[in-house]
Amino acid sequence: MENSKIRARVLKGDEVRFISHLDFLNTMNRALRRANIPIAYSQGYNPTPNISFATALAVGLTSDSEYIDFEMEEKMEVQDFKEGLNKALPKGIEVLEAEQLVAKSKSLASLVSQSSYFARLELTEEIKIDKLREEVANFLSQQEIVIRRKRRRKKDRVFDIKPMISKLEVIGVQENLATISMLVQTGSSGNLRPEEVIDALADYSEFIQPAKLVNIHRSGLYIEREGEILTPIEAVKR
Amino acid sequence: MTIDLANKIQEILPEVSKPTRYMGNELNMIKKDLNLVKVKFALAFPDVYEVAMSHLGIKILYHLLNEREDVAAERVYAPWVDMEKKMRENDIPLFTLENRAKVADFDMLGFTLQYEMSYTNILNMLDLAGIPLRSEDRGKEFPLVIVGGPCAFNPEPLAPFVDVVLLGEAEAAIGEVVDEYLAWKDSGASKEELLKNLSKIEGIYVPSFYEIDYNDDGEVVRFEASNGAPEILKKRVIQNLDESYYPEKFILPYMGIVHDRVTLEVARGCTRGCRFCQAGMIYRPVRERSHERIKDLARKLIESTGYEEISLSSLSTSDYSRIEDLAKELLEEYKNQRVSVALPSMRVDSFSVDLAKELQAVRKTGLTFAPEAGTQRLRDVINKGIDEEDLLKTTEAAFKEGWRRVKLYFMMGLPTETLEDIRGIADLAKKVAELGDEIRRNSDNKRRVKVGVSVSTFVPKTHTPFQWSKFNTLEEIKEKQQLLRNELRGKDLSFTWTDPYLSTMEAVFARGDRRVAEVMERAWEIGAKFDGWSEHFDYQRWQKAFEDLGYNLEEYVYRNFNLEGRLPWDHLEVGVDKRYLRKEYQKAIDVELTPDCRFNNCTGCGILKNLDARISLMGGENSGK
Repeated sequence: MENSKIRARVLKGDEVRFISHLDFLNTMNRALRRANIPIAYSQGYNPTPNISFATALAVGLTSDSEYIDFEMEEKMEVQDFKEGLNKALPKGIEVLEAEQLVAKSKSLASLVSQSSYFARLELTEEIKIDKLREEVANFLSQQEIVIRRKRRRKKDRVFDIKPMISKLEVIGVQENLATISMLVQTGSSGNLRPEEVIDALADYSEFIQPAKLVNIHRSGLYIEREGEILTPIEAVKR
Repeated sequence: MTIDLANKIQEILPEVSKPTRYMGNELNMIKKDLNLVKVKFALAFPDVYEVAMSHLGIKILYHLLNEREDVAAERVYAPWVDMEKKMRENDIPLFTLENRAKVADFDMLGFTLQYEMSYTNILNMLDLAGIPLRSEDRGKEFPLVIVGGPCAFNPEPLAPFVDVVLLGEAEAAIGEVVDEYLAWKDSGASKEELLKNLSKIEGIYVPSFYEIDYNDDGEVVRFEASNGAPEILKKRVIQNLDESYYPEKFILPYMGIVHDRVTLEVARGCTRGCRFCQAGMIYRPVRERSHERIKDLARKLIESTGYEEISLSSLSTSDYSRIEDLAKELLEEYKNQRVSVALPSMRVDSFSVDLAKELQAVRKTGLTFAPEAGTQRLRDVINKGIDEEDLLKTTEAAFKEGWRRVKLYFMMGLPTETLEDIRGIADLAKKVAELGDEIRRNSDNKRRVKVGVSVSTFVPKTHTPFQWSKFNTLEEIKEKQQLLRNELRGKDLSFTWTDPYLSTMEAVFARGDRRVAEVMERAWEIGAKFDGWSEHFDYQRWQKAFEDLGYNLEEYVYRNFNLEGRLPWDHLEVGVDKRYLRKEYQKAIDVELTPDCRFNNCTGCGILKNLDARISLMGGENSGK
């Protein structure tokens, strides 16, 4: 019999922005034990809870859209799951929504393909919002936007990120700070980091400073299905 | 002001490695309003977060002190070098994890002394805090600097830097120290007055109240106590371990730490009487916790942390009364929650392969044995009552059960040791490897055997029968290590050794006197810190520091102590008679064993009489049901 699963949207807040993906996973595992959640464990010598993340969030970022699938040993009401786990989780980590996963579902990691982010940009001088929008529009209208990604013990990868950017918008400007939002490719088929977009912008425009990770927040994670963009929880409900 | 500091810290965190080290806010952390308490106590550990957070003593003191409404205890650990650099660049003083408050603003600053090679970090942390290094330069506006822990039984190398030393088990005395501090704080009296009051508490040593001179051999030729301080200082002990304080919550770190599990101390002290072992002498008498209390603590600690492992800890866990029953009961209780039970520090002679099998289920990670010496003669010299037959029998059983990795721990440089004993290490390791290989060939499990041989260098420690022993010269150590490198070649064998230069420095500190303090300060000035970390340790720096002060490092470390002379730490008593240590030293030279007093007659170490204490084997008395 297929175990039941619960899919949850989880907050990674300011208090825990510097913890690594592995730390986040361990923190979750221990909270599950404290909360007495009937989670299913892996077989083998070193049993660990069967939970799977959609993607790993870079250290330094916050997010209100970390999606995790929990495989349960016994079926549990989502409301009980959410309340129980939230009582056990430390400040800064919180289950925001949870939904029962009925059918045998593909892994979250293989499904997600887009991420949205909010970021604060630091500007070199105070400029009007229209001016900044013009800079961004010009940036996007380039033939290609080539960046260089450093990789550990491997040659740098040089590639065009333009096709990976679905949306890039200036939301507001206040003094020498601007807020932007973006929707970019994520996941196993290709992953664009928000700081790479900002650094490319900074290279292009004299008004924009390089990215700081603490200024970036993940606001959404999406699955594409038949031309529609859905959150992983919406995808369950349909 | 404080908000400014907190913000400044937040800004540099993204730029340093492992920012989690400095983040605080872990589950079960206790953060009080510092304006609402009377005593602010900074608990410091002179190493990085992962090491510091693994230490049980700090956990106990942290929660014990915070139980008091009038006290706030906060943690502070050594920032790694990249963080230190950022802190200095941005004028960020040493701060505590809880409130991100300046350590210099605390009332008391307590360092635990676990390892001699972290002493330079103490100086560095004081400097980072903006606190003068020397006690004499610190007025009452600065925190009272107090040290404790195992190395505090020879705190002489730190004498000028600390105000107060707590000898023995801090839980037993810390309350009195805080009370005395409180009374003094309200009175508005001088710092000297505070030190005088504190020196009246049993177990409290105020180094500045003593004048000590040494001769060239390192023996004390003048010893004078002033201000009414006692001539002899006795350590403090908990009389009843079962009733003593133990935290029911541990701070749960986000990042992985060295010992990332529930550590449950089942007993204190060890009666085996290994002659090299300082812990075996300074933690006497043996006291156990009851099964009932341990199970109750396990329940509360798993509930409050969610950890996946409980480790039953003590100096020699296999000596704990009915350890198998306890381990099996815990294993059964937590099976469904997938909590495992670990027993570190098991001995070869009492090691049960059956128990190991059960504890590890099917996981066949390595087994570790510590014969300590390569020949029976030398094992008898150090009073390690293990014979070769025991070791081979146990390893055989383990190989037959499917284990393939065995680790063997030895020491080199032990008193009376010859190259024959060193060859004995290689011979024993080869025998184990051959035995394993034979069993492997005759079994279904064809995976090759791996015998890891780890040989550290013996460092003579104070308050042990070997406190008078000579430390091997660098040449001797290198020769012995080379011999083992040549001998321990082969597919199934691997050999690891310790840096002889590092061991030499450990030996300097372990039996160091007050003259080492100046050398240490000089070494710190020219860059020494994190000396226990190979990437930072620099022997030449230490040589230079010795030279700058007109001493010779090698001459200092190879001193011969006379059996009759007064030793630099003789005024600090751990409760074991010096007469007994001398007798044990003589028996070592004569290759005579001393049996364990747990199973045999009293060996006359004097601990119970001297400390008015008693042995308590609670684990045996109390069934726990």
